[in-house]
Amino acid sequence: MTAALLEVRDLAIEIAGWEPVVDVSFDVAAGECVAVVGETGSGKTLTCRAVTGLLQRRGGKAVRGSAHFDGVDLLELSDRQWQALRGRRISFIPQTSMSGLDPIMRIRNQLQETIRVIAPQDDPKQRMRELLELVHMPRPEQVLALYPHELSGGMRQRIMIAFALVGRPQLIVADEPTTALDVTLQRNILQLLKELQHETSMSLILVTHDLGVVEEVADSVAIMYAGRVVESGRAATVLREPLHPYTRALLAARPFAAGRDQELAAIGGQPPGAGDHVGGCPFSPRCSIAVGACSENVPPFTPVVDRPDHRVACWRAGKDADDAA
Amino acid sequence: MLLEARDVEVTYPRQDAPALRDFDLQVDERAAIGIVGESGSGKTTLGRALIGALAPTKGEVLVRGKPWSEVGRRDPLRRSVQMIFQDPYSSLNPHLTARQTVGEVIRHWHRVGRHAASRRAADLLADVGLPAAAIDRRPGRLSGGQCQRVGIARALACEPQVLVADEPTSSLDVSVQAQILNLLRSLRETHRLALVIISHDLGVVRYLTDSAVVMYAGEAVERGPTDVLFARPKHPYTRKLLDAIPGQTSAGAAQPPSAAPLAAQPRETHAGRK
Repeated sequence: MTAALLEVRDLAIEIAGWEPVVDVSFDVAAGECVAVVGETGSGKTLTCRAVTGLLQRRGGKAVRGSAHFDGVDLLELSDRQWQALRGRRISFIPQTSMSGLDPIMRIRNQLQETIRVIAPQDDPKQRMRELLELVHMPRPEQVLALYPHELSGGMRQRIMIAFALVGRPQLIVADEPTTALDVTLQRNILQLLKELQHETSMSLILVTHDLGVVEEVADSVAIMYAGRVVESGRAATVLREPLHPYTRALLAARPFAAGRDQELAAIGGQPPGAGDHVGGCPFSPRCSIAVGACSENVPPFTPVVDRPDHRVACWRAGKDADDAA
Repeated sequence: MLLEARDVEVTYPRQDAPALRDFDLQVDERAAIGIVGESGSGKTTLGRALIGALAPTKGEVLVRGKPWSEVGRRDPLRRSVQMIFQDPYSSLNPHLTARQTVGEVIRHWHRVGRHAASRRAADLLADVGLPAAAIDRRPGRLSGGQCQRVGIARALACEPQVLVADEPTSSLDVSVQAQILNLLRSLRETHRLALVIISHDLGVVRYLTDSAVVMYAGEAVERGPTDVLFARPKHPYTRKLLDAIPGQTSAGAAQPPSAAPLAAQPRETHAGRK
């Protein structure tokens, strides 16, 4: 196994006494696509922000743990040190492409400026052509003359990806890059990311709430719930043989999972919100196989016997509702 | 016929192309119809026209044979068609509690006192699964799923015969979506409702509806029984939609999901304004 490009260990974020991210650990190997899956409040966006240096440290936030990227702990870097890294070796693609672009500047000027700052060794004109070709932009010359609001959602997202590629990064962190798009566009953008990842052998962290997306593009997956990683491993294994009841429930609740005459296997209740305190395993109040012990102690995140890379945090991992405690 | 759209065309001011054209739809009692399409396909415009919130430029929408333009504010026909919105939070009055929101509607339509309305509201909110502790909360203190339940209870308070739901689950968390889908399905039975489900999510439409209409650029491109449409899509656009679902392949499509990328889309190559 090759050494990981990024190694996140026991990442915890505390905001005014509350911990929206607790003990998050995962690895990203060179050239690998890791999906981080979670719902609102699961801590997936904060985790992304921590590893891209975009977490604002004001307002009583504290960050613990480590995130080693090629030997450097990202959590220890100053803003100045981040400037040398972000956009050059690590890039970020936000969820809403509109807010990532300057609304009163033509695409050409924005892209040119970014190339001059991030990659001054490149000829801006030539590099722009290359980038637009990489993201399969139709009619690139016309697009360059447009303002962001004149582009459709799918084209804007392609432009955002082009921006992320300017510095030829080793790692791209994409926060729900396709959530705001239509299904057929989603498919195109996912294929594009996958293709770029192979061509440029970069790594990709893809944040999503859609297990279908994971199935389609991810090599590995980390499932987050209430600030913790509850299950992680090779995407194919985790989706085919999930061990955590939350992962199993998510798969079973998909509208395509049930026949038309069956009731969907909905998960009762809702994820804990800001400041809600749940004792023990955070999923235990909604879990169909929880026993008394589940609400007393937080289950450790442990490797699964005989399954390299597969880890799960559950006292009753792999059990069914009628199994004895 | 409960609700009928006849040759409906809607053109917004200062737009050349109609957002919806030559559209026909018949909603029988207790039918469940899906409207599928992507943004810009005209599905939301259709929803607004169906509930009488938008007057068609051409054609008409009839409720029990009467065009919306002739249905008065207190005409019982008006309450027979109700809507559930995509963003449950912004469709609720932030100053009113769940109980007040539903109670207000009950008192608008029925001659009942404040207390009776409040009791009836509490019953309805319990029916849709809002926890008892939440019925006196305002939207700001309710979760997305709970707000959606309030929206559904408010619609039910009108004792409607048709519920039009525009993307009823797309702003909800994945683990909560299934709860709302189950609720809509059981309400169809218990309240003897017809459903019109507008969604870009083919899973939602497949699960809730008996027949479906696929829309593209303001027009219906394919219609039929939902299971036939999903198993044997005829129109290339329907096939494309089905193939695009991540992690899913349509039963009728022979190609694996990794097959050649989709052809460039007319919509995507259009720069901006349509």
